[in-house]
Amino acid sequence: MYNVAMIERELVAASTEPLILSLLAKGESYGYELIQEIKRLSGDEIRWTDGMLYPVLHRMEDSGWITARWVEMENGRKRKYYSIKEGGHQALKKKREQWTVISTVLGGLWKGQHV
Amino acid sequence: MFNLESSITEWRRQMRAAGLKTGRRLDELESHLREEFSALKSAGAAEAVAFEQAVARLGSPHSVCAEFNKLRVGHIWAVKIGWGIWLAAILLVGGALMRRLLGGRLDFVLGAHVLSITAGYGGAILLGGFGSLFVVWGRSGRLSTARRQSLNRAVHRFGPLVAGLVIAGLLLGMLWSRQNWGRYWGWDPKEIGGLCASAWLVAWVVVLRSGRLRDQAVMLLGVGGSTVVTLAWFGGNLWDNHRRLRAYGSETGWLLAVLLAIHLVFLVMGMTSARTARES
Repeated sequence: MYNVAMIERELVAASTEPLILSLLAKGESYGYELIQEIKRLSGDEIRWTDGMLYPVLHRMEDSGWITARWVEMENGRKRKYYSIKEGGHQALKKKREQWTVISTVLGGLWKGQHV
Repeated sequence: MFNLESSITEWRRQMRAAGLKTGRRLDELESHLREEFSALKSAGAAEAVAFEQAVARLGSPHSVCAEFNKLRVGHIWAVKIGWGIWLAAILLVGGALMRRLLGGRLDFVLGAHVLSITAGYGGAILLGGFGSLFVVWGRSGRLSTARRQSLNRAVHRFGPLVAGLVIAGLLLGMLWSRQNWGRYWGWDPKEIGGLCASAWLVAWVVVLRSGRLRDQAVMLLGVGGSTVVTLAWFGGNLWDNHRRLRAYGSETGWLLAVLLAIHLVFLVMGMTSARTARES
């Protein structure tokens, strides 16, 4: 599903929803901008195949986590903006707790180890 | 010579051929394609190369369609059965009204009013049923993702339709009243009930669309809507009949009491579980 330069695709897939929710928790955004932001933040190590982001966004919309609206741009073209809903904040909270547990456990195990 | 618009038309054709038929989805992907194309062109790529790269980054039509197809998650049985019963009831009522209409025993506006208000009120009670299921499954820890998604989708898609049907029913009732009684509005208990139901359902749909409330709260408001509709449907008759001292008013009294008690149980269950969730 995903083209990944450095990080394994399963890990990228699992992190897609929390990444999207975290970005949208900062403010409204659209697909292209979300992809660029993730590329920038990850130093180009997380690369989504662009077209695959949209089914995920639509699934999250169906789940009631995010909502979308079409906005007409200055050039007359339309762009679909997504924003997080209350259900999305709750989901993000849960995912954040889960990822924190994993990160803490791995951090503890790897403390002092040199790979 | 490269032409962006004809290239996009061809790309859309390929996407449709691969199975992506929804115009809105294609529009969104096209918007992305144009952004990517502009970025690559600004970075110095030739137009034809920029377009080819943008299409490649978006993914092949078949792989993108395959991902979208995964979204087609079916509804849970409870929702399917609920929809089925609602639809069957509407067809039955519609058929009965049609027979009377064709037999010259029913006015068209009155028939349309009865059908619209019955479908709307029935739909609102069905949505209240979905809300009650949400509450019960949530409390018992059996609210799976599939159940949550299905109930959410049903409520989001069905809510505006139900509100529209009730409002249409109310307006048709007003029209019939004007034609037969010489006035649009008379503060009749049924009219007041219809107005309250419309107001509640419209407010609920607005809240639903805003996305500002949690799923649990949305579902509880749906149960509340069902309560208001039950009062409007059965309470209106009761009040009207008692006021006019008709004996059959009492027949709906016990039914109303039972229905309200059931609603109250679900409302209390939902509110207490919401409070528990907040406190924890």
